[in-house]
Amino acid sequence: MRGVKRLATTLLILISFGTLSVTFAFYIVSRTDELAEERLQMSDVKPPPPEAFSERYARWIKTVVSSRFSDFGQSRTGPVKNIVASRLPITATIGMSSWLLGWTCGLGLAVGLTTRWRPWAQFHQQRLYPIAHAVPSLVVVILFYLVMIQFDPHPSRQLRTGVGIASLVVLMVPSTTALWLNGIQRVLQQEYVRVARARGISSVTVWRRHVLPNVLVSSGVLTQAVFSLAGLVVGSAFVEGVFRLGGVAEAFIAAATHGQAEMAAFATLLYFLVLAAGVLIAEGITVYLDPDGAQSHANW
Amino acid sequence: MSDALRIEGLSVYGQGQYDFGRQNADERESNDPLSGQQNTAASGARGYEVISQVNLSLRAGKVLGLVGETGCGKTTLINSILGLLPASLSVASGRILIDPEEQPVDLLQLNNRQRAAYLGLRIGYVPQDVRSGLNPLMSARQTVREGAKRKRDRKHQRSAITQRTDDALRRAGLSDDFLRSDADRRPGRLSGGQCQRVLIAQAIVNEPSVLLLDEPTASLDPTSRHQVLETIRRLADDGAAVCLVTHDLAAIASMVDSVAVMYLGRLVEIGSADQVLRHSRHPYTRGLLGCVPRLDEKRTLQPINGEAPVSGNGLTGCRFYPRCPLRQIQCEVDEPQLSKAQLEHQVACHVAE
Amino acid sequence: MGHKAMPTGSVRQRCGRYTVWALLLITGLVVVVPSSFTAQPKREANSFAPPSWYDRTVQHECVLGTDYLGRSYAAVLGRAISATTRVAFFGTAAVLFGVLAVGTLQGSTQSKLLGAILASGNLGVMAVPQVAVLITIATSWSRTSPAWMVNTSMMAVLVLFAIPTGARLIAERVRSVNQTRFVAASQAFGASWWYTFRRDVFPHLLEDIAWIVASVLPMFVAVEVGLAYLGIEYREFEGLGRALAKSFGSIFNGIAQFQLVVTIAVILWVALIPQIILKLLNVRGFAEESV
Ligand code: SF4
Repeated sequence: MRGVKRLATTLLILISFGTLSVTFAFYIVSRTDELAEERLQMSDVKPPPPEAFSERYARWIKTVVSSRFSDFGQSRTGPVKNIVASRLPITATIGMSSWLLGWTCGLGLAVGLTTRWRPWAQFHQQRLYPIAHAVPSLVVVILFYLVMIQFDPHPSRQLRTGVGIASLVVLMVPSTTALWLNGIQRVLQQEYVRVARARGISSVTVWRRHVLPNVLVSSGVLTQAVFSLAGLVVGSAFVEGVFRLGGVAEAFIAAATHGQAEMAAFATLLYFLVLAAGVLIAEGITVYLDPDGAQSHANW
Repeated sequence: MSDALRIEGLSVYGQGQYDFGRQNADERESNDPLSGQQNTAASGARGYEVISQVNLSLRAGKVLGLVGETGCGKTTLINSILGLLPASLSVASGRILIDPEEQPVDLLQLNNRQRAAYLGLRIGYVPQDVRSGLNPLMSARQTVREGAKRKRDRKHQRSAITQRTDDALRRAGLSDDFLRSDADRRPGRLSGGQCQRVLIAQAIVNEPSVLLLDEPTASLDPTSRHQVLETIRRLADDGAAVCLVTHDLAAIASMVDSVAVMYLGRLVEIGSADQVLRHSRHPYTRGLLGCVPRLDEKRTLQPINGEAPVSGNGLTGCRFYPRCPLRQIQCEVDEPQLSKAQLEHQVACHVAE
Repeated sequence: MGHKAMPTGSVRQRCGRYTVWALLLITGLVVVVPSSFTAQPKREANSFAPPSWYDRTVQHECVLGTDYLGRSYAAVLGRAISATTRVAFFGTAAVLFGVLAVGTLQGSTQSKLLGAILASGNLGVMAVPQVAVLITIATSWSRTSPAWMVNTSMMAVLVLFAIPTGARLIAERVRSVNQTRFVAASQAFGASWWYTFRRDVFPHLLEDIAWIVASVLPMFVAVEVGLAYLGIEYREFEGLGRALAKSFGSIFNGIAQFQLVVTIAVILWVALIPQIILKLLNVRGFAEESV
């Protein structure tokens, strides 16, 4: 019951937050269109009469709802839905693969640092992570591209996608490792882990049933994992640009630059839907593992 | 009654400055579930002494009370048996024999996997910290059941495991009401006494022959404490060899069969409960008893002078010398060894002899 | 956020003082020196040309070659370093001011309203990609809008994004220092709030301030570089981002590739200076405690 209430609250917050963001994106980008008039003042071309934000937004909402979420308006180069549909696979591939690999590699490294390479754990937390955290992501993405073209000046699309994902994973791993490591170290200090060992339970079971569930629930890793999507959107924009892959991020930038409010709003909506799905999954995991909410640590 | 576990000449050493018995965070981290074999000190690489030449036997059907001030090495002794010493400590010498009279196996010679065949099955352990000893995400029943699954017998079926789980909870003193309504709750929604009993249940679910309890009553109210001690007594009566670690002499006085007193990593007095608690000979034991309040007698408590040093390093002779009211010149240079004052009553003191 | 046990006041103060001095020195070196030794880079292009080792205007080879406008790349890079670091330092100073003001207020008053605003701000900062917000803000200005207005709006967004996290840290520290006995003693002697803050509280914030600088400054560098690459940069501004984007644009030219590598090295150096200083001084901060 408590879990259901929490899920409902989270959903409500996300819906409000998402609606605000989509409206804000629509408003800001539609202003760009109004300003097109100003830009064209010096030329002979008569600008189209500007449409007020409220009218345009209402029209867009009406279109979306009346089409039962099958039409998201028009962009300069065609229907918004088609543009996004053609670009979504590559963005989703980059985003999901790097997210999964980044968090899995982070977990693997953190487990290694708490078991086999213990002396390096402190080095990672105190030296490597803060420095890696300060490195601009674009620089790393470009470095990967630079190395790739040394080996293959005309790389295939698959290679470009693979190397692009690798660059994002390398960018993510220090942070994910630090987060996992912090959580794992805290849980390993708990008496119940010692007790589990004293009961002769196998290492794999100790990790699976005692350490990892508690890390997930109490350390905030789940929250961070969901919100790392925000960073991934930016990283994905760089990868799409540097590796010439053309995804949704690129379409969003083009839309913002050209006043295509429908496109910008739809991209924002899409991002919030993914974020909401992530939050719901994370909440679901938390509620499943800790129905009493005794250990849960959530930042939303 | 035969010995179920025997400790012979156990010495544990540490590197650097170690706070006796009080593990710090880093050391605990090292106790990760995937770590390797029990640390065994390389000869010549010894640091300071944490436990020195301890000989002890746990007898089937008997309760041994291991007493001493905080930091005297009681917990380290238990950790040595369980193979859970922090990375900064290592066993320098000695043997820990399980089943010493029938098929003796030295636990110190086993690797993690081999030791796991004894832990939880032949040796049960109840930790000190009631609340954090239980995984907060597992219900009482799940915790006990996890241990029950380890016993691979012909009855390794769902119903048999459930049966053994419920039996263990009952034997730990939990009522049928608890089993019906509270056993599926997580520790956050159980009382301290209930948590302690669940911890006892997880330790006894596989009917181990040795039961190690580290301060099992430290955080309990008097009623729960009494019930838990009764449960422990009952388990011993059922045939388990119990080692009850505590600094609370008053609580265990009525239910232990024998008592071993530790000071700065050394056993200073061992004997039957009556011998040690009523006719104690070592000044340290008398000091401890002098600090025990009694309801039937109006008297001034007499604490032991000073505090136990953090480490015994630099001390020659008797380790209790700086605090001993009976010390003599000989005590400062000659370390007293355990010797029999009366039958089975051993004392390490020049004066007591 | 977890907090470690506070080291003794003198150690914290010493670390903080060294860090502040080192940062000031580096500020001077990085901002002033490149501007001085590359005082007159030729800004007007004679013609568009691929990057070359030979500088036609001065008629000799130059160290880093020339850029696509025929200018000495060393001079371009020097000015870019100067421009980027100025923006980064200015932004960092604004963030620091905001963080200290909001954090101290929250730490001293424990206001529920401000606490809720900071918490929701933190949520917003985590959930919304700031580059996306910057892109929409930057493109919403007309081309005729004054550059300072556009740049200020972008800086304001960045500063607003950086404040909640830092302010929560400072608030937590101020709260814990306020609960110590020496602050109580100081107040019992009738010291004013300002006196207590300056003498007893502020020295305990120095280490955190150093850490905020070390985290926020690279963020400004990264955003400038990233935005410039995406084609949305500060107006009338030629920073490291543009240098990187332009050399990346001609990446298949060997000289441009060399210039790209040099630019990357410079960006890394500029972004990592504060962290390197902190590591050298062994100042530990919230990053390690709160990851
Ligand atoms: S040996 Fe001496 S110092 Fe030690 S306990 Fe006995 S009397 Fe006291």
